[in-house]
Amino acid sequence: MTDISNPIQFWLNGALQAHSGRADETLLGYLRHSGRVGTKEGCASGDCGACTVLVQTDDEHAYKPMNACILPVQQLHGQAVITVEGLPSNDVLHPAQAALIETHGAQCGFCTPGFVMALAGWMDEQAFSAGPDGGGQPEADSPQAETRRLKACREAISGNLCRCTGYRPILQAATHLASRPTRALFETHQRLDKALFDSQPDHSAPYKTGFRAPQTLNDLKDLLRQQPSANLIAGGTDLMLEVTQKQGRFDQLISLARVPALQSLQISPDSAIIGSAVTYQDLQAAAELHWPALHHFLSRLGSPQIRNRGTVGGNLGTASPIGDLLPILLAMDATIVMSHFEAADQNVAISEFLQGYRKTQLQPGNFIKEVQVTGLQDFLRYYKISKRQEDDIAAVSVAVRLKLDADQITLARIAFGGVAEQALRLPALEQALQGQAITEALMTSLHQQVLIALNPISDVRASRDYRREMAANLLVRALKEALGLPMPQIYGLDDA
Amino acid sequence: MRKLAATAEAGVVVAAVGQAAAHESSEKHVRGTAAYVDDMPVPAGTLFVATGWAPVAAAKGLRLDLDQVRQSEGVIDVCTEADVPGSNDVSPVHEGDVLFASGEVSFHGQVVFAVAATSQHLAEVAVKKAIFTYEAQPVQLTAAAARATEDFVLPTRTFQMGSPALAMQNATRQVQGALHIRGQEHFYLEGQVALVSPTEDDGVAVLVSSQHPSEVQKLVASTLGIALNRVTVSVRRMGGAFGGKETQAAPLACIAALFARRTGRAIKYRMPRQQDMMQTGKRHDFENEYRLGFDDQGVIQAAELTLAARCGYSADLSDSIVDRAMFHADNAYCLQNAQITGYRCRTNTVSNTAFRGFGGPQGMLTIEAAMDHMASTLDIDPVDVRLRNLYRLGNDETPYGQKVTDFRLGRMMDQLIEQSHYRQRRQGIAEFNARQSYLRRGLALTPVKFGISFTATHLNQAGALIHIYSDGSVHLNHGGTEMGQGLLTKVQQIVASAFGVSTALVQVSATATDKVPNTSPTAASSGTDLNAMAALDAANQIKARLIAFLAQGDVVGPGEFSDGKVRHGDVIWDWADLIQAAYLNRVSLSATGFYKTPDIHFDRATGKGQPFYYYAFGVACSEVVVDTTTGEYRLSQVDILHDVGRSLNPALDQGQIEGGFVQGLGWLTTEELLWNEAGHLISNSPSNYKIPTAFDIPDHFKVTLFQEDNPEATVFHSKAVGEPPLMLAISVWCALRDACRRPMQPLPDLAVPATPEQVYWALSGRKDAADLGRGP
Repeated sequence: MTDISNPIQFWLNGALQAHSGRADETLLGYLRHSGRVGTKEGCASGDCGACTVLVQTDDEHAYKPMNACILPVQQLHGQAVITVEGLPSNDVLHPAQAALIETHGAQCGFCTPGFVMALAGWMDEQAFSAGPDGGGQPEADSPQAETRRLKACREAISGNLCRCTGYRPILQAATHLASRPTRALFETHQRLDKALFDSQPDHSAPYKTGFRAPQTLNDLKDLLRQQPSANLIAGGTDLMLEVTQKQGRFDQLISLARVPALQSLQISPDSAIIGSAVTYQDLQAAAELHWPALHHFLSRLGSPQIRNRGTVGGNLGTASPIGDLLPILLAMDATIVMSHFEAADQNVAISEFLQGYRKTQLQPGNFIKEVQVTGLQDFLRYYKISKRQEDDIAAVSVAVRLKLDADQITLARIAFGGVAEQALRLPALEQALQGQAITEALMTSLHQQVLIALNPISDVRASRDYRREMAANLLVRALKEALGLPMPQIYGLDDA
Repeated sequence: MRKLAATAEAGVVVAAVGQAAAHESSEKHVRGTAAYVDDMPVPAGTLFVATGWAPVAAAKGLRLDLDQVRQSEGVIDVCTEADVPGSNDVSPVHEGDVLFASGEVSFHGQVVFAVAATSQHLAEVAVKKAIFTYEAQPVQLTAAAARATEDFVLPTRTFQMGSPALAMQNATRQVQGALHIRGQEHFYLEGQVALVSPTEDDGVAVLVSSQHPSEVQKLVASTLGIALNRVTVSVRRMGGAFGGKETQAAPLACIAALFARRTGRAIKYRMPRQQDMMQTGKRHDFENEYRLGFDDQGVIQAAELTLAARCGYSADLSDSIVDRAMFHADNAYCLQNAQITGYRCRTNTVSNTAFRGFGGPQGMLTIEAAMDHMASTLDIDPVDVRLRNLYRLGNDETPYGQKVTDFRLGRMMDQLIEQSHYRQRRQGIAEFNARQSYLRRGLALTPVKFGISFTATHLNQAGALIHIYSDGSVHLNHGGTEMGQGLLTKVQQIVASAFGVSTALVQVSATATDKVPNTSPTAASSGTDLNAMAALDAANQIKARLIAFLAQGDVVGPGEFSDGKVRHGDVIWDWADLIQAAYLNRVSLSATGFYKTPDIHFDRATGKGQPFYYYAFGVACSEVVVDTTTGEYRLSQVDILHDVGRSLNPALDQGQIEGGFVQGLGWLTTEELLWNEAGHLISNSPSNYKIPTAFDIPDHFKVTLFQEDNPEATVFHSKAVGEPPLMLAISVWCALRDACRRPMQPLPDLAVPATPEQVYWALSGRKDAADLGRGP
């Protein structure tokens, strides 16, 4: 029974399920093998959204859309899942389902359950944040408000691909739903079971291996001591691709998702502490006030489904050259707090932490505890270039942080993603900016220096020359913005 | 007397045809209860297939060591070409598409063996254990390379009209250019899949996601070496197809059938997404050249157009696809004197196949690029150049000899110019571009003329089967398949209208080779044109019998079927009562219907004829805004006017128009199919091949149906709508190119697809950079 994990329990469409299976079994596999085939597999890589389900991961949040194809079912202990089969209440269609019929929002229908769930999750989040009173007054009608509403509708379905409809009717459905207040799903469906959630699954023999989800830092360290070779998993959005795309297997997984010490999230006007298990979604919400550059950027990272799963620690630990958080954290001189099951915590500068292509200072027994950042009040810009605006991997990304004293630059940080084996800074350029005022001549010279300093590869996402030119052009754009020059964007151009 | 079944409710319905009825499966779609092949319960003991594929793009002397594969956990059976009892050839028309490669390898990813194992995972683990030995050969990856070596999958063809060489020489002005148009991955959300069970007659029952059940039947039978009557194929629905399941689904069914026969167990073969992208054909890349001769007003005198398609390693449907590219290289314009040449180039890449538009888009884009080029040299608004060259009375002959007789396109263009405020916006854009430092806008209004009919004339036939049961409920079946386009809904509406009953009374059913035989693929936009007519034929036969029954030997007057009633003379029957009475009086309540498109023919030797029954038209106006510092862009406004004849279902038609447009948008903007120098597809997953998302469509996305009867005798004078709208997206590419033009500079070349990178190179005038690192 070595490949069988400890039995977990979770709520599925209002029924308590007990399940033991492999540590790396996906929720999608579980659903489809048990005859719940409404949830579809389109890509098995978290890119298409056909497998979207709703999960209530804790009792402080609404149901959230997630990709079942890369979600380990073992991670659901105590949580509540709704699939398309469970969405109707007393067999009455959910408003998202009814709206898609009304607007002719389904053609082949294969992606439809995913869209239904994404829309239902979006509505649930609004209902949840509005509270039982339904929240404040709806926004007054104006062209700008209309544009904002449409943008929100687009975001709600930006993690779902449809190849038939061209999205127009689905957006129309979303627009209908936006003006139709609804009750939170947990009022009509199963609510997360707090007692079950806080309980530990049975870890006795014969379930010695498999999936473990420690709930304290000490338990996590104990487990790491016992199984130093176990893989760590937080959101699993990268790790699970090994299973679904490469027939890889993980017999031992230790989840970081339930350890409160890894969930810190404090963003003050000038500094931030972000626990490694904080999801992009939670980070985005928290960053709105004091870290707007990051807040805005995060809508370009993955999709809502991915942002509800993926974590800051995962992005750092994977250390991909195109990891979306790395350039901005490099520009912030972030400190990575690394823990170990027997050694004291270690603070490492992110520039030291990143060691090469998907290489970091993490050794077996290590895990990332949190990230510390200061300088949030500095001038900060973060740009990303990709073929597609939404849910695409960066061809190039550029983060620029400046401290300015009057018109003099007193500190500069310039970091790039997608231009080398790892995300990197260009210290020579930073030096060159030190003490300078931003002038046309300076910008021209920096532009040239970037072209010379970088030597990226050509690949499926972009050519070498384009990457270099974008790196240089976007650095110049940041400097122009620092000068306060008006820099209108292609998005938002018609909003004003 | 036997007890009759309870009377079905005929319901009250007025003119189901023309109503914006919801898709027949819409509630099942949103509930997740619409079943696709992968959702069907599998019989106990079902085995799962994975394939082993060529690790190189070209090789000879291929030898396989499959010992470790056979010994791998869970493996029940392994097959290669040597294990095929019938034919290893799975070509739709010509020869050369093989089920398993043997001896030599023609593209990277080509299937060389298959495994059936107790789980999908174990099958996939097993195939990785194969050891290949081979002599690698040089690879030929581009149309240009194939043209240089004159290596074609099929002979080159030419259409000629007038005296193009002389007219070109005499023309006061000329432009010439070249356009490399990249292909497109279908990216149907439901990947290729087949589930095959053995039958007691040594045959097989096949469930497959295919646009062409009859061809799957034929190829499964020929693979197994058995008669067609031992193979049944059925298709309830597909999760998208777009041409990608016209020929590409059959090999899955054939391999699964092979294992089913060998093991006596049910076999499921579902391709993982990445293999689907690597192993199945796509839209053809084309390397095209144009030369136009014209006068000072921009009126074309002569055209020389060369279309060279990258067909891949085999013919598949490339003959007809390149034909259709040639048929559409004129688009909406009278070329006066023309020579159009189409090359079918062989390359070491997957064999390219049908994709919505079927070559038409690549032909049409070429002439549209040339129109903009011509207009830019004259400094005339491109829309005026387009209007001046439209087919009209007296200028109505196409290069393949068919006369255009329906001239609605000029009126449609005028209407959209007005509706979209094209002229005012053109002015506003000029002002914006003069004012802004680094953002630029672009605008284009382009027409579409698309020929409707299979150009292989024999495919223009269809069959249908209607039963009326003794309770009055109707069972409807025909040869067309449902892939999301709403075919079953439209035919259901038509049959309900014919009988004057509610659509709720007409049950649609899975397309099945044992109900309607020898069917054509659901393709060429012809699904409704053909199958609805066949269904109507069946309905009319039954109606005639009912009327004859009512007339009781008297003179048979016309009957009226409406509102759930049948009126004949002074007598009014409730539908269900009449059906029961007819049954008791031994009237046959089942009929097969048949239809063939009239008046079409084409002589391939002379390149002349009347290949199309009629044309469908459309016009689109698109506006973009481009960031010149990055090449990033946004489609900011789209207005479409599209010709559907008299719409059978405006909601479904609008869905086809919007969906087709956005699919075309993806082809021309973000969907970049790339291979490396070794011939490996590098855009092989949704993480690096990007189809549009909801963010890529504009807030202002307005589609208007141009509803004017089709002058031809099509079903209720409707027009086909599946493919033509895809080409409306050419307006986006033209608008992007318009935005890339610098004041006082020539119109720059712009690659296809126009990714942000390619727009940046066009803006920077860096023609040299545009192909850097982009691979073959």
